Amino acid sequence: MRGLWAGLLVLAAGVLLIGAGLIIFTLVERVVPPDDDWYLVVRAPGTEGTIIGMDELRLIGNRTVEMVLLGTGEDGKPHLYTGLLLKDLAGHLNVTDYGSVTVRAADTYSKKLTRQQVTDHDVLLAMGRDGKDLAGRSDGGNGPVRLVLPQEAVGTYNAQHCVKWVSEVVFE
Amino acid sequence: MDDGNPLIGIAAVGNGQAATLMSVAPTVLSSLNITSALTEPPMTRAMVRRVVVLELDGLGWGLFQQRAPLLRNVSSLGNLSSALTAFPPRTPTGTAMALTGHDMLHNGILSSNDRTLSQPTFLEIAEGTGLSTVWIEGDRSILSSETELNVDTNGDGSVDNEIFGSLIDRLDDGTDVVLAHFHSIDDEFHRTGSGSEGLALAMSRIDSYIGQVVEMLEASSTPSMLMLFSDHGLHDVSGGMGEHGSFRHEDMYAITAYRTFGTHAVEVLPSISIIWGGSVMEVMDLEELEAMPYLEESYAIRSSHGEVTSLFRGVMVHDLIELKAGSLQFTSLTFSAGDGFSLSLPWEWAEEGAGTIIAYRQDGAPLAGGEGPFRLVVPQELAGEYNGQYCLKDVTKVEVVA
Repeated sequence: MRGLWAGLLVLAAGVLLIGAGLIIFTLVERVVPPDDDWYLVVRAPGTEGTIIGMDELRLIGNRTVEMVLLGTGEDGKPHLYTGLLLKDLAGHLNVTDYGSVTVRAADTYSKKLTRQQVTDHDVLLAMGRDGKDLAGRSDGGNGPVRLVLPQEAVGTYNAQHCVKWVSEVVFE
Repeated sequence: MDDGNPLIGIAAVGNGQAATLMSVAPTVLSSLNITSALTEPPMTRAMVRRVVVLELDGLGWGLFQQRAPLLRNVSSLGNLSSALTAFPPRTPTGTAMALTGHDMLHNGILSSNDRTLSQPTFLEIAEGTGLSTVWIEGDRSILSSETELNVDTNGDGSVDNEIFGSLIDRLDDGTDVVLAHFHSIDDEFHRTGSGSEGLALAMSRIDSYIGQVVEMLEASSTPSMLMLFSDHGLHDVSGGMGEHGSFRHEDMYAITAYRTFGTHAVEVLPSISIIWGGSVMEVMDLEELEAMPYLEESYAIRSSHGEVTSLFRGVMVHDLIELKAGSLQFTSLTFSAGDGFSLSLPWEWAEEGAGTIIAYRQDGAPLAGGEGPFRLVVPQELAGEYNGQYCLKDVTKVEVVA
């Protein structure tokens, strides 16, 4: 009888290990969320990664900031962007131990920021512009989540840093 | 006199050469002995196990010539050439041309707004053969491709020293193919123009990085190649600043250079390239051809020197094409010889049963030098026909015309 229980325990432990392995494996793989069910994967030191769906992102990300995007495909005029500040995302998940943040898109395009850039500026994971949700990739849009960074100075080109189709944020 | 005077070296190269940045990817892949759509293997080649590619953003050919004394390590690298970039001369367009070996129309990057490549980079092709690769960048990607990013950790206003740090780490950990993209020449030229001290400092700093990489590769026991290229040049604009993106020589002429370290030559079997749609679809070497079903028959070949009959063994052209291109209907085939001579034949001449072969044995022995290793052999349709004109010697390529 004791042997059977021990066997069951080993089995359960094995299933748990395999389960944990699968989760880690899935998160290490490139993240490409489906267009109609977008989500963000957030990684931070000492965690396996957190998946945040659009509903939750919109709930916690309701800051509106006026920004000008300058560069190819942008009009260079001020627009109101609504979303979640990167520093607020760190706060929301209690991530304190990081030196830089990498924001990656579903198409592997990425941008890396220093901690100081994130804490001293309004670096936004935008989900809306001028009151409308950002359209997804399959609808020809730059969303549903796009990184929006302020210009360093009036006239500087910032659009190429504003990663479209953001699917992953890595605090390092 | 200092025999390292870089200006003498420069004057001797680049004259009349129509090189483009598309040469970068095939140079990298062939040095690693990787056969791909871009590379036709030569008979022998220097083989390396590691490739380091440095992209020097904004180092136009003109700027390089003007300020060569600041770039001694670039000048003395060897195989230095001017190279045309894409239009508009921008970082994404030029980088895509160099990394894919394809022009803009075929690589998907027609402007700085495009990011999604429609061709694999040499890094992706190398990774596909099991090599470890990395693309080291500044604080953002250039194209949609896996990239290792760096930020200005020490706050000195440039990410190049952090990029160099990552590069050294990757050389130490034995990564097989490393691409590192340095930005400060472009940054400084934009900011302060071609004659500025800031640009001179950026150039000499990058040159010292190159010097350190050369020293590392010289000291290493791994056969390696170091390749440099720039994506575009810049020109001066009013206000002491620089710009690019125009159709002018300062912007359009970039630079390539490379050197190998500790290589050994390897024998490569003779081969035939099958080309379709302008690119190499398949390279078949002698061993692979010998493994295919063959035809061995007596063929009479008549030329102005008379008629000679011999026993040829070879692969039926039909089999070779159908094996690689499927059962499509083609209109013609163009065969090319090692000396560049070429010949087009209608597809019917190669159809099943036509007896047209790529011969690799004649009377039981390999074909004589000058005639082989591969010869196109077309049978006479009527006895006495002058078929010698079709029996191309030293065939190296077969191009399928749909």
